[in-house]
Amino acid sequence: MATGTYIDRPRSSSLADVLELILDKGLVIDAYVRVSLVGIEVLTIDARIVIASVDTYLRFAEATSRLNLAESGGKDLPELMQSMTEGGARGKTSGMLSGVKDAFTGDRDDDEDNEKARRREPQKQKASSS
Amino acid sequence: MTAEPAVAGPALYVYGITDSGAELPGALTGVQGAPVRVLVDGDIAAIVSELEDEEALGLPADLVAHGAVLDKIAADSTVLPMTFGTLVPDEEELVGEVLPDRRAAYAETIALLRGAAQFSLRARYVEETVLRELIEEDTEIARLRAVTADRHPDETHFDRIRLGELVMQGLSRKAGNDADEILAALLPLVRDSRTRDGGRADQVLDLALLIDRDAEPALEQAVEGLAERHAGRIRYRLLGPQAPYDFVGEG
Repeated sequence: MATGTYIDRPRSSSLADVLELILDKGLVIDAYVRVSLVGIEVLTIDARIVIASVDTYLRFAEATSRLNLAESGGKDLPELMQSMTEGGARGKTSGMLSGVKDAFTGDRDDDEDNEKARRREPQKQKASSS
Repeated sequence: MTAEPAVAGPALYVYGITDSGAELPGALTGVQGAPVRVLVDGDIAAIVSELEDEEALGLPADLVAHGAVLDKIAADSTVLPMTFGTLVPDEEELVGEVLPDRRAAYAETIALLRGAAQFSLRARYVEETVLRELIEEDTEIARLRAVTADRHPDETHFDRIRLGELVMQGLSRKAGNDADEILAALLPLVRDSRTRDGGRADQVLDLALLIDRDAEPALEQAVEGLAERHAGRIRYRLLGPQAPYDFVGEG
């Protein structure tokens, strides 16, 4: 697998990646699908309606106003790129545009950590009981 | 949609359907940590695991596990993904009731997709760069920006709404042009493609690509080329190989 210098090429999918696929897509066997993901559905929908509202317009206006044009001339391309690669997919580059879904993706790391913690736990117990 | 989980013993969670000859990676761990196994039924096979706690299904870890099982299989074999949360009471019902009506269609789709895997490409704008472009290119955006800059937000409410609206229209216009460039570079490499509406303002393009497995290096190279050309302006994220979620004809 190529480790791209410019592309973000993760080896496994994050929760946000998976959400887009496995809730909306895939084969459906009628009457055998049982899902109650109320929280997740709400978040997915929120991310979609973010687009054309007055609130979004105002946030874009603010982001545009905040841009410091004078400063911009100094920042050359390699510097931008560097901050991009260093930040990875969701570093400092995910600004206000990212909307609700990124807020949700933020959970991802916690979940992974929790899972790791859970996996470690039984081992610890075994070690202490023996 | 079954009213009560009044099933004796654990239910079967179904990940997807593959052909019975497919060689699967060993020791896959599925939803709720259960071992994944294969249930062969004639020329097709169901990928399943036992589900102990039906009520608890739906945690983030479950979603990730569902995706991971399918992605690992899809790396080498053709697998038709089920939507998340597909549960059957037991093996007998799966083989006796569920699969018979669908076996032919599943086998046909598997044959159609053989040798291919899905990749997902996401291209997103770097906010600062494109906003700067819009200010430089669009005199009305530049004017409204100046008008609203040094006055109290309450005085310029409608100017700011108009500014935001123009910026979003500008982003969408740019995305159209950039998407055309991306598609022109990638479509010659793929068997099939679907554009997805990510519904986000920073979206350039969300794309599901069906490609031959041995074309993966070529695809990576092509995306890398685009990403290099657009460095600092568009960020690219490429996922795969994945199960062909966007090409199984449902959802």
